[in-house]
Amino acid sequence: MSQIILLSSDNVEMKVDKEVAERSILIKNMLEDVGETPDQAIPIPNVNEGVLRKVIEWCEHHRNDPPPPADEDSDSRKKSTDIEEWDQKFMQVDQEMLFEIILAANYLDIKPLLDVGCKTVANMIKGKSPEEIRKTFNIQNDFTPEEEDQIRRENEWAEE
Amino acid sequence: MSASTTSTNLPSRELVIRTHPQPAVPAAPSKEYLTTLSPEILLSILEYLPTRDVFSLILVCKAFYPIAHQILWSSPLFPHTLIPCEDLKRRYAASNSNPLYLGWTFVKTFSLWTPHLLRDKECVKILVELFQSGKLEPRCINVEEFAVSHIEESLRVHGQEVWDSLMEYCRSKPPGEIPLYVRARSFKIVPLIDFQYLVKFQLDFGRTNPGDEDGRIMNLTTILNTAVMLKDLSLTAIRRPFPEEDIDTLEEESPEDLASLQKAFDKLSRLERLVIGNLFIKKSFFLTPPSNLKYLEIKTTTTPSWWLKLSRCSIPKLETLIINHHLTGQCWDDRGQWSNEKFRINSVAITTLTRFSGEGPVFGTSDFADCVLAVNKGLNGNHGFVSERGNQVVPNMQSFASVMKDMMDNILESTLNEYTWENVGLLLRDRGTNSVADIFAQECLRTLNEDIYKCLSDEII
Repeated sequence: MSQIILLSSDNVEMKVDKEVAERSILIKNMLEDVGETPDQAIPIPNVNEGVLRKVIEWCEHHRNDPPPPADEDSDSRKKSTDIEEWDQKFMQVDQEMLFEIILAANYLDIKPLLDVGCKTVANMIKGKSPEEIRKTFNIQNDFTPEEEDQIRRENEWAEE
Repeated sequence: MSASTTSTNLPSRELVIRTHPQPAVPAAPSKEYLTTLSPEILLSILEYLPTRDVFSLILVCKAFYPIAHQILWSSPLFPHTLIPCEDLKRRYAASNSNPLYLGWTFVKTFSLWTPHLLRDKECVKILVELFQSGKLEPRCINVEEFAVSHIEESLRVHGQEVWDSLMEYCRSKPPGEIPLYVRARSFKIVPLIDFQYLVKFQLDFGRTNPGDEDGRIMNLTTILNTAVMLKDLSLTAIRRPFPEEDIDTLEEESPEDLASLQKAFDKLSRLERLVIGNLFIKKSFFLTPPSNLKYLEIKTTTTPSWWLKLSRCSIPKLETLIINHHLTGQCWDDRGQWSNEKFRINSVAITTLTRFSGEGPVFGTSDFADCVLAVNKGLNGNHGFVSERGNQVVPNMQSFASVMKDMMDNILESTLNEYTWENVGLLLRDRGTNSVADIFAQECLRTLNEDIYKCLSDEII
């Protein structure tokens, strides 16, 4: 099994099975362009050591997953937010790490991991009032009362 | 780094559990991470949320407003489960509270599924106004014929108004820009619709009676001749046809009519998906599918010569083929004229499949399936075919190859000199594969011979 070396943004090298690293479409394409397994470390400039380790842990666990089915009608239906148990445990991290993982998955182009991240955030939003959402994510309300009132009126048809 | 941190006693990954709002992350973070995400990521998060939650999010802060607003308003205008009149009136009242409001422009899909909207005078007025003023610009229109043609006579004039403004809207755009999806149960829709804009057409008949009570073939020919944009066509009769014994008494479709239908078919250069079910159940029926088809599904009575005709059709882009022969136990048999010799691997013109499934009678179908499997390398086991013999699934290439390998190993063990078609062929037949598989095996052997002899001679040296 051939291995490659990834270099995190804070200059830490990590040895990974090529197959595992190729869960990242970015890395996969990069390796395909190079043609052969490179001896030198591949720099991942946007991802620090802690996050990269976490991402690799996910890729290790999902190394044998079949490719995700191509969903054509994805926008016609609301998607399910079910998350398999291992992924749920994996995502039980503080928010900084959660959002770092999402950003890394997006950058490295690991769609299934990005989906798990987005579902986790969606589950954190589900069923909450605007005030509760602000509290959960530490967000300041920057609307004036008049603006808030206007938005409420414009969109109230959606409030069931 | 290894996955050693993940202990092995975790439950299987197949276990999927539902997660509802859970206190996964208890403490509020010190920073606003959520608002720093790119619009694309934010959008993918919002796609998981029901409308109610998007509405909450829209009120959270300015950073979410544009995207939540867009999601909220782009929800399809009247999916059939909602009470469409109320939905429309509430949205209209909301948009009227702000004359500069752009919410309507985000509505991507407009669906006319039930007659309710057209029975409600206020809704009709709103709809006509929205279309005529250009406020409502859906990118896709779904129409159920039932919603338009099944309205009481006294109210029909209102329905017509909406229909006219819809058609006008379609006409104001370049052909094909606004996909028009129509589902109809009769040809009553023919005079109403401008088929030039039709992209997807689903015709569900109540009966399969080929007596052509409503000029089926001619109407269909008329529609298809106009529908130059058509990409997706489904022609299905809902009910099973008639007692089996009546089959032979069916009148044949007139050859002239069938020929003009075939001509209309040939012109459907954009058609990618075709489904035919329970229609044209007559011996003479065969339509050569349009040449750019990617998906073909046929659920109807077939005959061996029908299979032969299909196998010789050139459909160079076909990816999916699904065939279900109905009326089990009886088919019009051109059994007498049939022989397996008619199928040859190299006579199968369908070679680009990535999916193949179906069921059918013994005569014709199994050989057809074998041939299709042998020449469609892209299938990679993505197929299944059941014949009347009873759940016989044609072996896929891999299992076939492994049978061959075992057999050759056996033969090679016993005697090297007897590795010939005469021996292997006999063995293959003993194992129940049919004549087409034999032909395939023969061709495999021819190419394998060289390699194997080469290996053997290497070993002997």
